[in-house]
Amino acid sequence: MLTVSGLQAAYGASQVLFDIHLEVREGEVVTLMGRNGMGKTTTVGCIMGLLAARGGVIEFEGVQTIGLPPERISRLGAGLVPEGRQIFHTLTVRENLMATAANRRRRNDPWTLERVYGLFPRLRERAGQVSSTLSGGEQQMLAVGRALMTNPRLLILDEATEGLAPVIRTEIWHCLERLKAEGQSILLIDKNLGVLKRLADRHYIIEKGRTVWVGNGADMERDGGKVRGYVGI
Amino acid sequence: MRARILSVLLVLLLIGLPFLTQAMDQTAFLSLATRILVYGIAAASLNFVLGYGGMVSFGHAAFFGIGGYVVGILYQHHDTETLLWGFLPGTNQMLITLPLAVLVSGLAAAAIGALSLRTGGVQFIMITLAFAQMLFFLFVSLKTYGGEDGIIVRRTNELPFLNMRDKTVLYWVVLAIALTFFFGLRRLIRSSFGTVISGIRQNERRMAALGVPVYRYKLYAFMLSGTGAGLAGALMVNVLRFASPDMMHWTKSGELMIMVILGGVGTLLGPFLGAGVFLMLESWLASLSEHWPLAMGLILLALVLGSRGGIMALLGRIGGRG
Repeated sequence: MLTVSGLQAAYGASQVLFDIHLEVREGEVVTLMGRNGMGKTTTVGCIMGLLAARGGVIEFEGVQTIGLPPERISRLGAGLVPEGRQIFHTLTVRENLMATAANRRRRNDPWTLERVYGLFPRLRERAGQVSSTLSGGEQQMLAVGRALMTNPRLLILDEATEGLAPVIRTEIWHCLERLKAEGQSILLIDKNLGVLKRLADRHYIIEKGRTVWVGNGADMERDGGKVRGYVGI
Repeated sequence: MRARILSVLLVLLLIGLPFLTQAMDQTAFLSLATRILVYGIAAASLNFVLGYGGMVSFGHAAFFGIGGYVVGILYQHHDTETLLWGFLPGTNQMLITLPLAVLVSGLAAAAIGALSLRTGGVQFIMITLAFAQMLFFLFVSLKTYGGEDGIIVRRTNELPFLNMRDKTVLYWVVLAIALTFFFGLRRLIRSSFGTVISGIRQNERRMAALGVPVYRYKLYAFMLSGTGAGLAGALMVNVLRFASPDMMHWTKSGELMIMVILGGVGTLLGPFLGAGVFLMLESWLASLSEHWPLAMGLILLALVLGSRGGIMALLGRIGGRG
């Protein structure tokens, strides 16, 4: 569904990504890990078309997406939950969910307000509230709900639990488990090793703009020392 | 609930206004009220792109003027029984002139928007201003249509069954159009199109990443806004019975912007209130002294600084807390 190979990118003159490889297949949960500043968010930006890649190949749903504008890539079925949430502050919870809602691939069990509220009951309670008055965790749930309402084939979460209270964090992990059980393909960007190990089918670790390690949970146990070295715990 | 009662009262007051002005022997106020409604439509149109969409257009007078000139030019050809471009007859029927004014100003907004929306920020302000000034000078040089002097429309456009020469009837017609416009705009802003426009103002990249073709949405919003300003311009020519290039001078764009800021940027009712306060202040101050713009400037400065968010914010602080 998503294949990235040899991806390179730069901000102005300074090159950030040198050689990123990763693959997400139908129904998989895949993680992208690495310390701060290693290029995780830059990689996501390139996948979504928010940043121009300088080289390499990104193929999503059989389409070469480098050079396509973000709305086209989104319409192909990529749903991003961005770092820092970035909800639309002056809109209500309901408006945030409905403004960009779409079912472009005519899924027969599309995401609806009801289903999102079922996943996050707190959002139902706050439906008419202006979203700037939500707590950080609720805003994160809203950002996830907003992405789901576009009925994405691939859900991409960039640091979804960064800076949240442990209770909320657990709630979000549970929600991701439920999504996985329903067959949703997910690309997770995070630093939180423990939980991810259980949830994900495969892990990619990047360092200084290169994919340096690939493996599943068992591989990670075996390569424990090396992995911890890369991720920096 | 309280807001609903207040709005019903306001509408009733507006409908009954002609009787009030007659009883109080203040018939001149009725024509001021008519102008306020018309400017309210123009300012609310500007506010849709400026306040909701975050597109600071400094050239909205262009669409106001185009709408006005559609009425003026059609009237002139009707009056002289000549053909426009050799095949189009003129008309003084409002049922034809208003929709045409809306259409033409919408097309102009599509053309101007398509070019200026490729930029943003200060460039956008300057480009919209440049387009409006270009049109201003175009109409100044159009001797066929009066050049600098504009077109005098001797008679207000006609509507079937109504005596449009009666100032009270004209007021009611304008009021009906303004109310329809207001509720249509409210609906638009609350629709998913409106929420997307609001979202684009807050975070354009985010909207794009959610699958929204941002440029196209902005262009549609700009076009809709242009049609509103064009409608207002067409009505204004009917009210003043005069179309002139001054309608598209940059100071007119500025006035519209002042009305929006004064009333409350990004609020529904604000532009109408802003237009009301602005025009009432103007007519009151002008009757006191010929140096009225100075006083006007100071009062506006105090109002905008003092209210932080315009009249709507002020009303909100007075009414909302209590």
